[in-house]
Amino acid sequence: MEQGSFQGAYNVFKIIIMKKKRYICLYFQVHQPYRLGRFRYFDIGRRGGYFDDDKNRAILDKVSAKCYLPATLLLQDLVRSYPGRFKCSFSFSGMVLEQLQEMNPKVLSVFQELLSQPEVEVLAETYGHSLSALASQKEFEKQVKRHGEMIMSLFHQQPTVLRNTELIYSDSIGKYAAEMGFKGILAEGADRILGWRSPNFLYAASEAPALSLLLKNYRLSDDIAFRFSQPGWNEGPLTAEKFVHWLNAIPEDEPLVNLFMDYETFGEHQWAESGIFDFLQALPEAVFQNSDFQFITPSEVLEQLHPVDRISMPEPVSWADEARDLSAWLGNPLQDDAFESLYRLQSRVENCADEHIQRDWQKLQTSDHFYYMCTKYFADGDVHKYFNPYDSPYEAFVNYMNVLADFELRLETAASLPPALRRSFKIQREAIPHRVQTD
Amino acid sequence: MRVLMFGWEFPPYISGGLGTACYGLTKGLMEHGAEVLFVLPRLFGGEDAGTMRMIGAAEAELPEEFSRFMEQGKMQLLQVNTALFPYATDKSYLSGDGAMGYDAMFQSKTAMGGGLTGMYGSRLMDEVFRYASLAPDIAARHSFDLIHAHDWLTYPAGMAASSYAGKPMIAHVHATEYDRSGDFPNERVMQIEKMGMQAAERVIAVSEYTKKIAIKQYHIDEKKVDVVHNGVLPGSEKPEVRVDKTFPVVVFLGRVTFQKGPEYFLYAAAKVLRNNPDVRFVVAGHGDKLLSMITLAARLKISSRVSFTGFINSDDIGQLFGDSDVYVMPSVSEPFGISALEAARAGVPVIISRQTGVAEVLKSALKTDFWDVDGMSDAIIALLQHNSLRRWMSRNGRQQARMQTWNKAASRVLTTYSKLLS
Repeated sequence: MEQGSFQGAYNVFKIIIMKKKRYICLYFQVHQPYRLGRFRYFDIGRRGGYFDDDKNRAILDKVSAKCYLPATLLLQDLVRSYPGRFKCSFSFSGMVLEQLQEMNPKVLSVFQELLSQPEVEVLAETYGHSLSALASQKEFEKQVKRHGEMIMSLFHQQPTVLRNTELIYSDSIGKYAAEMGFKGILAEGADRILGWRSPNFLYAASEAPALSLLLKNYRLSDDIAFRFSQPGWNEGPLTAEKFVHWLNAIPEDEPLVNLFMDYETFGEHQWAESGIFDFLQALPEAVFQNSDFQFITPSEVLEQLHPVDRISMPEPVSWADEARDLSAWLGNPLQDDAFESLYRLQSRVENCADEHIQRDWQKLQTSDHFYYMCTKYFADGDVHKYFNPYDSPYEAFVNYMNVLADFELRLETAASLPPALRRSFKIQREAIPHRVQTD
Repeated sequence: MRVLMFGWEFPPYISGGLGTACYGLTKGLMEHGAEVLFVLPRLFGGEDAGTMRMIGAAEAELPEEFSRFMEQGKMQLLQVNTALFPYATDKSYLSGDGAMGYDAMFQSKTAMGGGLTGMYGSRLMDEVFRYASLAPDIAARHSFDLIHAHDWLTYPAGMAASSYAGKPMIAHVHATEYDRSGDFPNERVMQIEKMGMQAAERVIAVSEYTKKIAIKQYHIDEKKVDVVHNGVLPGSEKPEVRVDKTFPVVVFLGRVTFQKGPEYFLYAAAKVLRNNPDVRFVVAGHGDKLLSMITLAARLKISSRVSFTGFINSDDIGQLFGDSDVYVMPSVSEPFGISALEAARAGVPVIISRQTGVAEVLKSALKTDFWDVDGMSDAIIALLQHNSLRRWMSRNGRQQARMQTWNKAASRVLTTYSKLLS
């Protein structure tokens, strides 16, 4: 009898589920680091100016022309064409927003216009696109707050959902997010965490049940972000119709498909010639015509769905590479020493009121610097090389450490310590006589 | 007196101490009235300007005074069309992660030669003997009293010229395979070194230390070996002593290879930093151990206090000495070590390993064994702590370096010449 009643309850449950709507949650990440210029030992203590302004401007202009501008105008069109029906979400690092403010305000205003639509939601993240969540809760919170202020001033939105750098999530990060009052957080739907479970449900954080977890469907996301124009992919060329066909193949009781990707997918990673814009343009119509899916933003997901289970990620999980762990940024001796050296400065930075120091502090924490030091040259090496302005991870490391040394010196000079208490080393060596030696 | 001299690099395009030594020595010899025919191999292809800079004689811009010597007919530069380049046993050229130009060159040529030593491209040895095969022709075209060959790559050329012209030869030992590779020497290189030293009427060693190696490792007759310590060129510019800096600087300058002992520098650095976390260490130079040294510094968790410069040019060296408070040469085996003298001349207190030739002339240096990391770190700490000691060493070191002139070295070489010709 027990068996029968369970079956009956399940059937009722199933009907409720089936009646429920199904959602596609689109999320785009927008980020550009402040890349460092060449900084030699001889520059330590002799000059500031860590960043390669020309290169950063050139890359920002290129990505703006190829992606930010055309993709954003296209999304504006789609939002206008399907009012209240086509929806998507963004997060912007403070780094890319600063660069747009400085160097390309026109593109920023296009973003602002798109984000002013109620169909488009903006998420919280760390200001510096940093790995601070792995180093210090305090620093992490400071950065998320700093970022929130910028988002408020530029987009007039107060994010309720957080996405941490590179989708890095762990139980502790979940706790930090919940303590800051966030209702939801984005994370990778990694197989090793989910096991038999599907990413296509809403979950709750194991240590902070009030926090919901939106897990990326990495297969469908990466079909667009990585495989779209990959030569030799037997599913290519990918059309909106085919993609909707795949969406329809998802079991009907799974209500949520999270498609999370870099915004640069559109026009930069996948060139315009690949047809990626045509795909994006055709997607809403194909979804509306041929499926019962609807578009939804992350905060709406939290209103519409209830978590089905708790998910625990004791070790951090990210969206990078095959490993989907931290190994792109941390783990080799170079990365670890650089990371530790950076956060050893934290308390001193906190005591420093100098705004230039504070701004550089954000820029130096950007995860990309550590990515450049990655020595994994296996399957992921190609991607790493593509994104790496240095010839080798060693070069990236040496350059970064020189910059950090200079930063530390500035920190000491700028520190509000009275001069008498500052560490100093008096040069006792005699000056060389002016006479040119002739022997 | 006319000398037919075989070398392989010459300023301003040099990759190490040998070019500087040839420059200083020839200059000194000419000041003493000797005439020098200097033969250089010409490089073609494969040079990677980013890592080590060198160029064939055809393109080399000579220092002004040499043009004058040439105008006066005291010196001629001859070039031979070969692919020789210096420090060929430096493993950075064989498998170096950074020196790709050379790497590629070796790889392709090893592949062409097939089945040879594996350590050396067949082409390298070919080039040594090609250089030698051209030597008799040079000997035939010029008149001279004796032949002076610098290090193993030129010994076969010297021997060929010597037997063709019937003139005596001097083998000048600046470095040996034993220094470069320790207990894992390349047998063929050692063989050529031994052959050259045996064939030569006289051998000049750059230090007592090297003389001992010639006797012990190469079984050369003690009576045949003269010691002529290298000199140091007068500094053309005074290094700009940095007065604004707030941290002490300890520097390692040299190729980052087994021979130079860079890892001992880093181990000592880690110990010093435990005592004084503000010290900055600089590893200046390139070599096959550079990447593993960067990793070692990271493993020791001292990267925030260690800078790696890679290859640096002479302007940077001047500035580096201007910055530096202590210079450390932890070489495992160093026939001489001119750069220690250069540091001393710039007023930088010097710590050297006992396994260096320069220790014989730089009396005011602090000395430790290369493996004695504790002794080395103690010496660094002592120098940084005691201003009086640093000042005293700076003054004395500069004086001693100043006395160590190439003019003096050249007159010793002339003594060897006259022994040979009498």
